[in-house]
Amino acid sequence: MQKWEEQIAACESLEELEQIRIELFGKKGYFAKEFESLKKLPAEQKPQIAKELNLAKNKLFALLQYKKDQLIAKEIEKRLQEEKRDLSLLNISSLKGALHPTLYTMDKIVEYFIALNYAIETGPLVEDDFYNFEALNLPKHHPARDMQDTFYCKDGKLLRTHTSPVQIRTMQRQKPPIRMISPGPVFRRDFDLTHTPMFHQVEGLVVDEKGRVSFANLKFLLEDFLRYMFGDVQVRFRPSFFPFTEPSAEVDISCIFCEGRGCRVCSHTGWLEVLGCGMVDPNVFKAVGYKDVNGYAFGLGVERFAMLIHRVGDLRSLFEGDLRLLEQFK
Amino acid sequence: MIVTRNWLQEVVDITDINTDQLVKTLNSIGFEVAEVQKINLPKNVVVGRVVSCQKHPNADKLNVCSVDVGDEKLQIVCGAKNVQQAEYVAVAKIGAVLPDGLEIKPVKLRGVDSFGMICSSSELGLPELEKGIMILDQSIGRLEVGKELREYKALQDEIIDIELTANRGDCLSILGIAREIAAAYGRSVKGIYFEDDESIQIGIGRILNVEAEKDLDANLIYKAFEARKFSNPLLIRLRVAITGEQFTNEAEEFAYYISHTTGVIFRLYGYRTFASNHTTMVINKDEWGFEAVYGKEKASIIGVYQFDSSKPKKEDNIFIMETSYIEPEIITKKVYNTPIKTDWSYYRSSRGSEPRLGIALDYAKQMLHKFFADVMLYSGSYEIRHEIERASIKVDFADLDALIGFSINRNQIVEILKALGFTIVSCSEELMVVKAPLFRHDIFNIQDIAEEIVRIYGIDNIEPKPLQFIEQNRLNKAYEDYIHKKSLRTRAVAAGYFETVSYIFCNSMDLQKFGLPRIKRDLDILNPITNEMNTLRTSLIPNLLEQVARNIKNGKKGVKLFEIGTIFDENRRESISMAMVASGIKEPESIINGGKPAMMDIASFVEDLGRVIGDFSLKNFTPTIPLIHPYQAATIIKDEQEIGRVYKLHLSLQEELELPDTFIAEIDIDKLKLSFPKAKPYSIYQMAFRDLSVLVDKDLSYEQIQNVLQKRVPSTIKRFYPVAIYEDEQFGNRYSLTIRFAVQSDEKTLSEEEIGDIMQNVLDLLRKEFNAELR
Repeated sequence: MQKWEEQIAACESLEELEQIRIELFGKKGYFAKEFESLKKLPAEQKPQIAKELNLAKNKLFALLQYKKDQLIAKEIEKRLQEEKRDLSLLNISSLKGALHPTLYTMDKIVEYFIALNYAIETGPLVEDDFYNFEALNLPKHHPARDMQDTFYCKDGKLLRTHTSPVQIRTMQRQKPPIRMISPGPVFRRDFDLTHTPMFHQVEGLVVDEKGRVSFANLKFLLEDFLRYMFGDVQVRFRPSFFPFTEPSAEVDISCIFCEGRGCRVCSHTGWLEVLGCGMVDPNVFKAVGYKDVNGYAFGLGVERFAMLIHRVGDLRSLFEGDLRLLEQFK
Repeated sequence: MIVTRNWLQEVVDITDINTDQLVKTLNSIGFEVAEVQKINLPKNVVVGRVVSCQKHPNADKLNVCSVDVGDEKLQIVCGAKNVQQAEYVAVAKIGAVLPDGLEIKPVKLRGVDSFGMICSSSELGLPELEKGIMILDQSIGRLEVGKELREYKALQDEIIDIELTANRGDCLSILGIAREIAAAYGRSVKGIYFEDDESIQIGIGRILNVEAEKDLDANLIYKAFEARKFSNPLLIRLRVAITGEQFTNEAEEFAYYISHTTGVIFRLYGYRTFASNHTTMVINKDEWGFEAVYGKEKASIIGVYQFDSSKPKKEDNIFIMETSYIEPEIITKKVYNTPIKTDWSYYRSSRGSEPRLGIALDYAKQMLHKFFADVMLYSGSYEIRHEIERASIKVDFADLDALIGFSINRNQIVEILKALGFTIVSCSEELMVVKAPLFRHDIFNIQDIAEEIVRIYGIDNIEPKPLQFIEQNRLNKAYEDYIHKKSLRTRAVAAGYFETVSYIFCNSMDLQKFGLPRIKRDLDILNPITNEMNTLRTSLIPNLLEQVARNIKNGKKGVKLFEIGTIFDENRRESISMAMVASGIKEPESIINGGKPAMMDIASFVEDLGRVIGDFSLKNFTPTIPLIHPYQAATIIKDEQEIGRVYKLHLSLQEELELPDTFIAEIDIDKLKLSFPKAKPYSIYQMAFRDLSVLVDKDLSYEQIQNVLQKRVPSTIKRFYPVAIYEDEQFGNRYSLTIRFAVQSDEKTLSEEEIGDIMQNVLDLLRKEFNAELR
């Protein structure tokens, strides 16, 4: 017995152990033989010897099992060590691409308004004078047309200079109440450090029967929206002029770079202009045949937002597909 | 619009308002201040008087001056042509540091000592006036030799640059801005009045006869004066220069100054240029319908342009003053329809100038009286009247409250409007009738009135309120398109592609080079901004390839870009297209690929495409345009529809653009619409896989085999797909193709024998159709 126990203890591999198991418990093994020899013993000795044999058998079996578990654990440990890898070697740049900062910013803006149940509306990029100007209270001779240098086509059509024509198209197509935004590219004939011939706008419009939509509502919306986009900023409304709204205002946020103390980005004013808005001019409603309604409208430049939020310094770099910029947004 | 504190002070008292406050107020009432600039003259620059002035012994262009600066006389060498004895000048004494950093020290100029410098306006940090030194005069205050220039009140000024909106022509003047400031602070504007000196009793009729056509759209007043010498004082010249305008004609400079101050369009005509003796001035409609002034020839177009010939000349000593007003709507319509030259006056008249013409005449007279010697005014005037009237506007207070969303005290409303020059025709508890002042041509309705009230009351004082709105479903097509686009974009990003935005313009030569269509000439852009962007794109590819090339030039070894954007067809119809481009290495260099990543190939690119658009099949096509590689091009088929194409860039273009192997996919995303897919029943029995390797002719494409198999294999073959091709010389003109078949019955588990039969049938089919042989 002692011999067997020592053998099991000294065993170093599962194969060796299996050999021992066969020698002990196999059909022709030690215990088979011992039990066989029991038959030859006198009947009164049998129970006692059988009991001892069983005890020995159980003990050796348990020892064997214990040893087996130990050896398996050792074997796994060995394999684990063999599979050791230095994962720090795998600090590779991911294979993922990235959304464009302008369009990602536009997504964020659109998401906000979708959450407030604004409809998304779109319109053609090549527009009629009527939708882009006339219906928006910008007759042909209006000096404010100077503000928007326009690309014209040879057949008299033009590339929309703002997303506002979508307001007109939507109002012509639908009856109030209207609550919509219109994101998309717009075009102005201007190309320098701070202007590109194409950029993106998001336009918003809310129209309901007279008395239901007010300037105070507009203020509420835009203050909330700007804090959603820029965090905890101060919002300032400055009266301004747009032909299609009256009263009109430009909206500033406290400078996110210097927190209003004054820096290069805000031209030392402490404020950044980010939005234009106002109550829809009655002439616009007249152009689409709406009566007894009120509404507000607002518009913003997406690149401006993107540059502020993502700290992009050069507007033109947003149109160059330059991976040195784009890879930073992975 | 440029104003200065001193200039404003002439019309409204702002002594108690500091500039920061003033700027804040202007911003809050709708006048965005772009910039404030303080005039800061250097120390040690004093008033000097040139006592003597002699030619420099060794230099033709230099003068040696003796300049009295009060406590001493300084010898100063001066190079300016306009230095003269007895002139008062600005002298920078030893120790003065000029704004450009120049420190004045004693110097020797060509052997002559010089103890200071006689300065030009720009050397002192003021705007540039004429060439040479700045000659001082009493317009800046009494000249005292030796007095520091920076102590003159007229020169202690702050320049405020206001970004005026296009509707506020009435504020294109010092008076207009002053009026707004007065309204904001609840004070009144000092008027501009001048009592005519009627001591000279020669009437204007003695020298000028004005004949005017009836039914003119213009309001006009003419007066005349005589002056021995017309020379603008320094103050006027400085102020005009500060506004950024420059005039070679001093009379025009004076006229501009009067206009800038009062807002009235003011002109001066030289009497002599009309005629010698008694002159007749004719005001008629010209050939385009403009009100024009004629003398011997056309002198001016009112509110638009003055011809040089009618501007006063040096020899003139009688001057005719004209003040005019035409409603902006009238004049802008005419100018819009006529190719005509305009001068500084049109910017004002098109935006609405000041119609109260007397103000400008009074101010001009005041200036002449104050700054010009021996001025004699002719009594009387010619006046041409065209009545302008502002409509009465009914304002229901309840409507006003609803529009603003906030109730402002009625009395306060009335006060604000009065301060802005409005007339309150009547006012009850519910209703008010108001009339805009003549100078406000931009006020028509209750919303215009609301704007006036809101901006003076202060938008900041209006309490924000949430909107109450009747809800409805707003999930329209545009929303679906947006979500669809967003999901494609997200997937393209996950597949390793970078989103890009490019202009919708491109170069027509590029389109031609690539063999891409161009929109019809008569629909093309009339006024492109550059040649590089002279047409609308009919494909996303030209701009994308340019971006790829730029990245490769910047040293990128691999570029993967995608864009979703509008493209146009030949008839300029718009559609949304998606394009993916991959060029160069397939993945970043890393330990995984031993720093040597494989180059992108068509198979990997198609795999990427699948990550974005899901299952699809490809159908070879033979392209005919120079853009596309003739032997690596396929149509993308999804749900039995052609949805785009995938191809390799043609090698000649690849060379030209200096690109590595480049692959392109163009997808019509409208055909990729998301729908609710329908599930089909599937077999629960075991599926077996069997490979079949056959030899087929080299010119036989897999597409042909696939088409036949798709139609003819039994329904127990659930799927099949190629897994290997193998070429070997011993196969001659054939190649080995291995196709894997998934075999499964819907009713039972198939036995080996049954599977064998099915595969035998497939083999027979391939033998028969394609002369295939089992390898």
